[in-house]
Amino acid sequence: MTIHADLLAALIFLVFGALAIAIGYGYGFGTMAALGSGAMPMLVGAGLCVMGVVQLVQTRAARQTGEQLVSAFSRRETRPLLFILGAILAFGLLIDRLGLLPALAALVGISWFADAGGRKLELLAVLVAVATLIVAIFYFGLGIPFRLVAWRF
Amino acid sequence: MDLFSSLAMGLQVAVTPVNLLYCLMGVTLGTAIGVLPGVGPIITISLLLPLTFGLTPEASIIMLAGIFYGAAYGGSTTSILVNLPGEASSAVTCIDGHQMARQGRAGAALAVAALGSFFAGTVGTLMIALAGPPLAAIAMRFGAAEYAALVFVALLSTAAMTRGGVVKGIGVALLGMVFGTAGSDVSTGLFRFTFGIPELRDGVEFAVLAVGLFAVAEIIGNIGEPQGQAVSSSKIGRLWPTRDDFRRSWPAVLRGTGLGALLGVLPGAGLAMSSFTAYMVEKSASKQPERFGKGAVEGVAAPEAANNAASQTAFIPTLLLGVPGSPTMALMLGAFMIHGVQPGPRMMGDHPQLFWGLIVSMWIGNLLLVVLNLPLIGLWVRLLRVPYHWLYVFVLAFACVGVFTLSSSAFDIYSLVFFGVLGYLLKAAGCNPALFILGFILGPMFEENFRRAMTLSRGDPMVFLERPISLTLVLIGVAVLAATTTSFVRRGRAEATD
Repeated sequence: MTIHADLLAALIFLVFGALAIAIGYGYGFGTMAALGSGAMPMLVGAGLCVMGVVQLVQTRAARQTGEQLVSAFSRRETRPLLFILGAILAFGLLIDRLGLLPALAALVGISWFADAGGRKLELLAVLVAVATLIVAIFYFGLGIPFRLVAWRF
Repeated sequence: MDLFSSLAMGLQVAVTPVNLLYCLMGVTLGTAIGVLPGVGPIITISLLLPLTFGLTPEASIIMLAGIFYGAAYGGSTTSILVNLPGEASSAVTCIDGHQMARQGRAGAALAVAALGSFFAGTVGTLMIALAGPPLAAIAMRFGAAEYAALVFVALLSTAAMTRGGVVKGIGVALLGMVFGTAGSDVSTGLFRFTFGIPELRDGVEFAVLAVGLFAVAEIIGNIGEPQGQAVSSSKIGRLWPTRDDFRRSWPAVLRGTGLGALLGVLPGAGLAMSSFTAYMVEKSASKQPERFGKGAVEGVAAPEAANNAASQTAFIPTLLLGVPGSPTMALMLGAFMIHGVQPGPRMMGDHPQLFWGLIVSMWIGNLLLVVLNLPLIGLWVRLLRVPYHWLYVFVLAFACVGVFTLSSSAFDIYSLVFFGVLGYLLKAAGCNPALFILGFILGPMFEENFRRAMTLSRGDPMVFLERPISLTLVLIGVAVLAATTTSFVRRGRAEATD
């Protein structure tokens, strides 16, 4: 079974709706005259579940009419997804430990490969350009006290 | 205080060198991103949100507003010159604008677009100033039930108007509302959805959420898409329009301005919808509709005036009621709240400097845009040569460093990854992540007023139907929902990706 866009939407709504109701229940609904902390999460969660079910029914109807359904996940996007998220994660891991410049280098170095088109020689130029601009804007321009290079493990 | 002394006070705020500088920065940036396809006002405003913490409220709001209306302006440039809309709001300008350019009349098209936009911007700004005091007086009488109903209508009609269908629209808005409830509950102080993480006690950081949902998810989607190469071949030619151009375009500008100003106020309509509608109206009102699509100057004047008028009047519900009508406006509202300013009927009394300063600065910004756009057009077109694989790396670096500066904590960076994934999933599911933002911002407002209204009515939900203003609002919401099934709105919605 392919997960196409409408089915994915239904799944997202149902999962988050169910979570909101389940967790919201623990906060207490309160009474109608004094709604508790859990009332809004539960009501909104219920709304989400309704939307999820409606979406499911619509999907089913579309399937029965023999509509061509395409997968929600395009293969072209797998590479950018992994590299971009990996780049941000690397930045987060390095910024406290090694400082701004190494973290930026990792960010640029990894995210560069998200796009298959870029040449490797250009990478160095982009690295220098991005580091210069970021340091100019944030460190000198806005005066944010970054540690440019640190060593803390 | 009468209008003139208010405007005079606004002028004093707007012309201080610092505020002028930020206004100039805002409109310049706005023009740049308006020109660049793939980078829009939502991304740019969310990227700059973390940076505005250090500025005064006036300077940061003036700058962010400049980005918003500047982008509506800049989008027309590439539409006309290279048949490539920088923004969805200018997509319709391509039709006749680019035809004019191919006939060697790009200069005239650009000038008509710029002058028409300037006129529309002036009218739009004036409308905020005029509508402000009376509208605020009405809104002052709003109670909790009215506010809850108003938020309900704004959410529902925006959700109904977006591409992808009503069900997905409402679903995403509700999803945003769930995330909006995270953090400590205002009424009871209970921590909700914090999962024991201390960073979540104040709720999900708005700037992180915006950057993740838009910038990160957008970059991933854009890299996956094959890139169209933009080549500008046409000469700009004579800038000043002919007498005939003027004669044809001024009624179009007037109609476009009126329509845009009206549609801008409505929640959910947005800039793209206003320019598209203006074009359709102009075409059907014309005595020679066959000229449209072949370089009719009205086809440039009307939509450009409309989207610029709408980009000004969109501030009316945001500033005066505190209820944003579009996702970009929700971002602006978030920017106000970062500075501890709550937009709404009391804003004019509590922060007159900010309110009137912003209005006057928007007019100054419109003036700056004419200056920026016409003589410097060659410079902007050159921006198109920046390859996307340079651009996204810089945007990503800017996003990460900007988010990190919020609280110097790596937790925000990890949240960025989470919202990047969520934004990617929502896009893959054909849901508009922009509505998520609207739900996130409006959710807590809705909850607070809904709970208060229920307490005041001793638990009787009929309160929303018994009070006249509230009843009217609820009925409008239902009507909008019903209207989305008609073909006209469906067609408009398909064009409007705003």
